[in-house]
Amino acid sequence: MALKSRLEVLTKDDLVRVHEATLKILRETGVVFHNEEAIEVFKKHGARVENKTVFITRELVDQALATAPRTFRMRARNDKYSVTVGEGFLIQPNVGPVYIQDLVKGRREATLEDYANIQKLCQASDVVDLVGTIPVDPSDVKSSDKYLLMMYEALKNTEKPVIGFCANTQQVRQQLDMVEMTMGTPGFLLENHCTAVLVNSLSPLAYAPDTLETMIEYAKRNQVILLAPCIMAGVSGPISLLGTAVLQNTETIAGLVLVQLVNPGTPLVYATASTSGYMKEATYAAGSPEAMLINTASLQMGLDYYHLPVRTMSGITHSKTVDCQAGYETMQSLLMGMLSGAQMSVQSLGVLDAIMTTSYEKFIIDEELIRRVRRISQGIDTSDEALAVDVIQEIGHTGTYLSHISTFEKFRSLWTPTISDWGNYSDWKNAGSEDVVIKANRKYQHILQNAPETLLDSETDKALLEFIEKARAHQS
Amino acid sequence: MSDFDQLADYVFKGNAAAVKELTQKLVNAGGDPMEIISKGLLIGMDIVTPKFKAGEMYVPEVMMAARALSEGMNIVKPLLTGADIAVSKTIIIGTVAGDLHDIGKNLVVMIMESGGFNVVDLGVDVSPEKFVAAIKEHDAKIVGLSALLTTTMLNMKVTIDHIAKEGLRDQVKILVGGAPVSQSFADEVGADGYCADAMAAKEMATAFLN
Repeated sequence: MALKSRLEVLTKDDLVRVHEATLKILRETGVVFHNEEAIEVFKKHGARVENKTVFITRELVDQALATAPRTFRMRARNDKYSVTVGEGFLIQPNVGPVYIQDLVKGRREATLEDYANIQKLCQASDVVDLVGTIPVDPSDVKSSDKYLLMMYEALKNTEKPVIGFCANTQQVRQQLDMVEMTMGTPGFLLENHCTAVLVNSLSPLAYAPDTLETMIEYAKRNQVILLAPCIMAGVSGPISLLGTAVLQNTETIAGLVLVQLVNPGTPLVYATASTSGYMKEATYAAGSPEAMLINTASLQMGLDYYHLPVRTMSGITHSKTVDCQAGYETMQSLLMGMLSGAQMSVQSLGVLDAIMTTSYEKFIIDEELIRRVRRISQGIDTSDEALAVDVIQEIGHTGTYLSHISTFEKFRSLWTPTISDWGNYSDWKNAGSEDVVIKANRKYQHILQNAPETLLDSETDKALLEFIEKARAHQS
Repeated sequence: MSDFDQLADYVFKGNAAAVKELTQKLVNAGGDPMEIISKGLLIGMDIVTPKFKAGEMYVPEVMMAARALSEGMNIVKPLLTGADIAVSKTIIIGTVAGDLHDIGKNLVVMIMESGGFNVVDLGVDVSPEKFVAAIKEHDAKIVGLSALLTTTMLNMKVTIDHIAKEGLRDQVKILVGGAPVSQSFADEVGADGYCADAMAAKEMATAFLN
């Protein structure tokens, strides 16, 4: 079962136009790389470089596309959670929110405890496939320690494939070493894709120093790069949605070329995270239908023209609280993302306020939205059995399907909600007329109370803590 | 419509070519530079500000108006005498060390200039030392620090601490802004003010100078 069509905004000819536009920009305007090693890699492979601007030829692009994998396996610490990237609709944690929010304590700066809590929710969730990254940015730890402590909490509370953090070379090496310590033998990462990292270009047409250090280190260790330009149409990209899709494509292809030159075969996910600008404030519009339309165009390029695994940013909203606006904007974005063929989604687990905030309650509600969208993606069973002619004729004009054996055998496969209320009015009223947010509040607390103390064996835990201590001592 | 009203209207509408032409005409006719600024150019921007706040004007329109204003200012500024130029209206601004993002910062620069401030824009990835050197060189009373990343916003504190170490903290008011920045963060790093947007920055800077 699968849907028979995808949401598309470009024709086949348009895909060629976008690609040719990209090649022209790469060749004539180039991309700025703020990193000496990246510049040297390009020079070594014959690219023309002026100061920090690299001009990329069609040949280099073709070569990169030839070595980048279309799908790949991501190994989890517990192998039952390993995933194939490039199929399905995988869900990863949010990246970037500064605030945490709940019904009781309201909105506040997030702490390391909140970070650990979100990891626990991700581990417990049947819809979340990847863990780690920065669903909330802890405000109560030193910046020099933050990466070590976040990675420790992610490894301690989860055993799904883990996503790291964009940082400088040394910090990235430490993250990768920590992941490797939990996976087993030294060198394990070189042979297996165990961890990924989200990086953003510095739009327009540039890459920042930390971003490049991160990309280069992940590539050298054969780990996954989720490359996502976050362009705002009309602010950091052209006002036309197509133009922003072209810019997004150009920046992604430039990054792809670098990664494939550093280590051919490094898995890279063509990730799309652009939006239209909110022109009253020159910020980005999270709840706009146009945001996903830009990414729909880009997803077509990634899927149909380049044959790369694709990811998008869907499930986003500009609402400040878990209200009606949060619901419809989130669903609009999530559904459009899935319908556009995204094989992975980010910012789909409880974000509010244009990704400034993660809400505990909305995390629980969004899990159900994901279940709804995944169900839609499955389409309908079109087998002869499903045609049900025999059953329809057997029941005829007066019988009921409710007690027929075919219903009895299949009724539990019908989709049912996990948080929404479908009961009758008087039951709902007698149970206290509860809003869905109140139920979600109870549910997330219940999950946290039942989360395991740790998922690390004591030996690995000890080794990780010693590693962190050593890294700290090295810093000071 | 008087020439001043016409000039203000051109600024409001973001018609840079017309502002340039009319300002030059007024200057050639012997108009007082201060009057051209206060009764013409800045009046145009005064129409823009409340309309922007009310959500009637969008940022690109504000930027066109600010650009038109600066075309006029470029003509009259060289004619001002030393006494006319208020040194205290100088503001030093930059994106802090490690951060290369400048869309928001550039917006603040334009809005500040449209408010009559003399803005010294240090650009992106500005070290604490550069901020200090600029404060000394321009005898600035206001410093604006910008950051987009949660990693780099911590360099606001490093910058403010360095300004204090150099003995300049009492001389300047420090404003901070950027997507992850909040009032509580501003308090924590010891800034004098948190600006949620460019207009707030202009108003706060104006309030500090009065």
